[in-house]
Amino acid sequence: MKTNHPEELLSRYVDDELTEGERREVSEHLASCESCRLSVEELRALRVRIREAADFSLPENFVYSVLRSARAEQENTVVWLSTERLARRVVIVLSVLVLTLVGLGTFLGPEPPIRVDRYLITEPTDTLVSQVLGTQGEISKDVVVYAVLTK
Amino acid sequence: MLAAIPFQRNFPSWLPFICKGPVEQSPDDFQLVEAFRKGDEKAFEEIVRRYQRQVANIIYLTLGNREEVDDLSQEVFIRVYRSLGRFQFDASLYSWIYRIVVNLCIDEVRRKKIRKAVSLEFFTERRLEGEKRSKEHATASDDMLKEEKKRIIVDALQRLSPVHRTVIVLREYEDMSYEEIAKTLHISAQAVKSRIFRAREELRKSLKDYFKERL
Repeated sequence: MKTNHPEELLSRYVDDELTEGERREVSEHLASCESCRLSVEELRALRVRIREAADFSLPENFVYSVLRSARAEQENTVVWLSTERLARRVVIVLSVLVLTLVGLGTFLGPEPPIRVDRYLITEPTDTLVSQVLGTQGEISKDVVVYAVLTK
Repeated sequence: MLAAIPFQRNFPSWLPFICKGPVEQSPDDFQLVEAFRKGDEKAFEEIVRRYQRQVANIIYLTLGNREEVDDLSQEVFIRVYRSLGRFQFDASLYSWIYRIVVNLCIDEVRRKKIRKAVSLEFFTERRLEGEKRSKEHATASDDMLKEEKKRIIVDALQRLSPVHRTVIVLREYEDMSYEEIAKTLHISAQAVKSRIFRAREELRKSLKDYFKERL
């Protein structure tokens, strides 16, 4: 009966991958089972056939073509890396330049107009300044100076 | 343990392979890798020569297509060249190289969907055709039949799933132990056992008629 044949053990038997106990068990079984002996023979034949089929030989100059390709690839990598390094530097320099310009622009640019309510919030509504400025939303420094002087 | 082996700098590491001089021992893999790291390209040539046949045949048995073997073998060794500087010897060199081969083959199988549904009838038909031709052309018969037998085996391997094919090739062709296969493929020894068993079962089923006549 098929279930009585230790198929999995036979596979490991031909590979010499059994424990001592398993080996004994298989050897005893093989002594009395012709079908399993044939299976073992078939498994061994399969190995021989696979090794025979592996008859591929690479050309004599294979090693040199490998080296040539490997070197070419390495050179391309070096070129690419140096280009990449250069590109990175350019990006960094440009970033620093832009940040510097933005910074300078912020500090040296024209002063923003002064909001009336920020400077004159405490000014009584009936004063001359308030009357002069009236409903103006924004005033410059000059107007403030003028308002103070005329007060 | 390997690190304790002194590296002989009196002679280039590849010297024993091109002349029988005073250096008798051929450099081991560790020495070759160390020499390559120090800029000795001859050491790399030696690594290629040492493993090229195995690499080519693993690719051939796994993909079953002779036309691709040369290019893919080259790709394997270019990857080796690229990464050898970072190789740490946490596994043997051959195990590391075979891992590159196996990954490349599996990628290739998946990419091209190489697995073909070749039927048992197809094998039998081809074998009978081969035998018929062999009778007609007596002089060429032996070679043709031999080639036909090999082709039948390679075709049968192609019917296996890539994971089964890989383990059976490493076991039957490379003669690796279960433990070595497990380390190379980063799988458990139990998985190796079961995959090898299943691969053999499938192969025996595919090649039933073939073995019936040839055993």
